[in-house]
Amino acid sequence: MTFNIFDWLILVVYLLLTLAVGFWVKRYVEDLSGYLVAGRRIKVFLGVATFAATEIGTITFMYFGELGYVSGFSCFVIGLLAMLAYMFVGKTGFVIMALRRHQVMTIPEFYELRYSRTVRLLGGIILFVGGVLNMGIFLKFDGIFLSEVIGFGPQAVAVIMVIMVVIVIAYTILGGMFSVAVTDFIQFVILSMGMLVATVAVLVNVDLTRMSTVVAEQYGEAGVNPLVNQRFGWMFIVWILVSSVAAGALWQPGASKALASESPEVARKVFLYTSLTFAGRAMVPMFWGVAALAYFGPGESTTAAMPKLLGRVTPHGFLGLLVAGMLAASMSTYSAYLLAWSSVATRDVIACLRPTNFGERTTIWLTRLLAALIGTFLLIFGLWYQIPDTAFQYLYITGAMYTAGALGCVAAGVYWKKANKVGAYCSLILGALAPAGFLILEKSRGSLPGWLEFITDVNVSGMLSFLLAFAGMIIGSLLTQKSHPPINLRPQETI
Amino acid sequence: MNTGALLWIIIFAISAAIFFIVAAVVSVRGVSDLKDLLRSKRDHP
Repeated sequence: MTFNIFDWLILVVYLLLTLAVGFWVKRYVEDLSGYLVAGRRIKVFLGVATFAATEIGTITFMYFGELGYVSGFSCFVIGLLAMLAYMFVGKTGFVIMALRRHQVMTIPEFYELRYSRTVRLLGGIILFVGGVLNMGIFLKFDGIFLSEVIGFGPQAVAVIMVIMVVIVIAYTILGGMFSVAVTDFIQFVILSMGMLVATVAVLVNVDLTRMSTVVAEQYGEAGVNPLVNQRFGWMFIVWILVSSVAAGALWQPGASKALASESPEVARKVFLYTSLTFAGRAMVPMFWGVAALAYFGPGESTTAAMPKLLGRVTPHGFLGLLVAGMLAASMSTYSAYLLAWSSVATRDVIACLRPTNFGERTTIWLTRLLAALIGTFLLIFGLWYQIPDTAFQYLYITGAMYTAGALGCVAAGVYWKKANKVGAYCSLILGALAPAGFLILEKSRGSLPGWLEFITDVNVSGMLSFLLAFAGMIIGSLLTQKSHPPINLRPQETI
Repeated sequence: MNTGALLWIIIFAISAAIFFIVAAVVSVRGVSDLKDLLRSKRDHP
C-alpha cells in the first residue's frame, strides 16, 4: 500500500469537511428554485468554480490519461477543440443566454415552451437515458483510479465505488444545488491543488526527452499528428468540435450552472471564463498518460497505467492531497449529474405523463428519491458493463444520443422562426438513432452485413447523429408549416 | 526531441499555466461570491 498515516489524515479530514458543509447548507433550501438552481443567485467566480468542478471528474482524468497512453501527444488536439467550443458559447452567449432569459430549470422545459408538452416528454426521456448511460462508467473508472493510486489493487474497486456513491447521494439529495455549488467550490480548490501536485511530481520523475522518444518509437507520426492517427482524423475533429459546442451549451449538468446564474450576462461570462480552463483540463491528464507510457512502456493496462504512475511518483503527504483532490473532482461531478438527471426524470418525464405538474414539495421529494435510485443503478451498471472502444469515445457517443437532437431543437427553437414540433420530433429521434445503433450493433460487429458496418465506427456514427438531427429539424419543419404552425416565443416568456 | 512533440509540450505548458492561474483567481474571488450566495438567502428568505 502506498498510503501512509499523513495521507489518510488528509483524506479523512477532507471527507468529513465535505459531508459537514453539504449537510449544513441544507438549511438554505426552502423552495424548488432553491433546490434545483440555488435560487438563481450564483455569481461569476463561484459559477466558474462550480462549472469547472462539474466538468472535471476523476473519470475525466481517466479517459484523457488513457488517450495520452494509447495515442501520444496527438490527442492534445481535443483540449484545443474543447476550449474553442466553450469559448464560442461564452463569447456569443449561444443558446445559454436565451435559456436563462426564459428561466427554465431543465433544458426540456424549453421544448414545452417552444414546441409542446409531448416534445418535452420525448426530449426528457432521451436526455435521461443518454445521461444515465453516460454516467454509468464514472464510478468504475474512479474506483480503478483510487485503488491504483492508494495501492489497494483491483479487489478494492467495488468497495471504493460504494463509499463514494453513498457520500455523494447523502449530501446531494438533502441540499440540492446549494450543496452542489458550495461543495463544488471547496472541491475545485482541492482538485486544482491535487492536479498541480501530480503535474510537478510527474515533471520531476519523467524526462520530457524520454517521453518524446517513446512516443516516436511507439506511434511514429501518428503520435504527434492527429490527422494521420487512425483514432482521430478529420471526421473526429469536426465531430468533437460540433459535439463540444452542443455539450457546452446543452448538457444538463453543465448548463444547469448557467441556469442557476444571477442573470443571462453572468451565465455568458461563466462560460467564457471557464473555457480558459478547458485546454488544461484535457491536456494535464493526457500529459500524465504520455508520461506513464514513457515510465512503464506499452505493456500496462491502458486504464490503470496513469494512476499507477501517480501512485509511484507522488511523495507521501502529497499523495493524500492528490487523492483528496481526485475524490473532490469525482464527488463534484456526481453531485451535479445526480441532481441534473433526477430533476429531468421528475420534471420532464414523470410530471409530463400527468395533466398537471406536481407541487413543489412533491417535486423535491421525488427528485431526492430518484437521485438515490440513479446512484444505486450506477453501482450495478458500473460493476458489470464492459465499454466498447476508449472511455472517451463511449462518453461522447452516449452524450451524442441527446446533444445532437437537443442542438437541433434548442438552436433552431431560439434562432429559426420556422422550427415547429414535427421538426423537433424528427431532430430528437434521428439524433438518437445513430449513437443507439452504435451501442447496440457494436457488440456484434463481426456478423453485420457490409453496408451496415459504418455504424460501428464511433466517429462516423457520432458525426452522423448531428447531421441527421439537423436534417430532421429542417425537413420536418418545412414540410409541415401549415399543419403545425410554429409557436414563436416572446423574449421573456417563462413556463 | 522531435518538432511535433516539442510543439505539443509548449502548447501543454501554456494551457496548464492558464488553467492554474484561472484556478488561483477563482479560488480567491469565489469566496466573496460564496458569502453573497449564503448571505442573500439569509437576508431575503
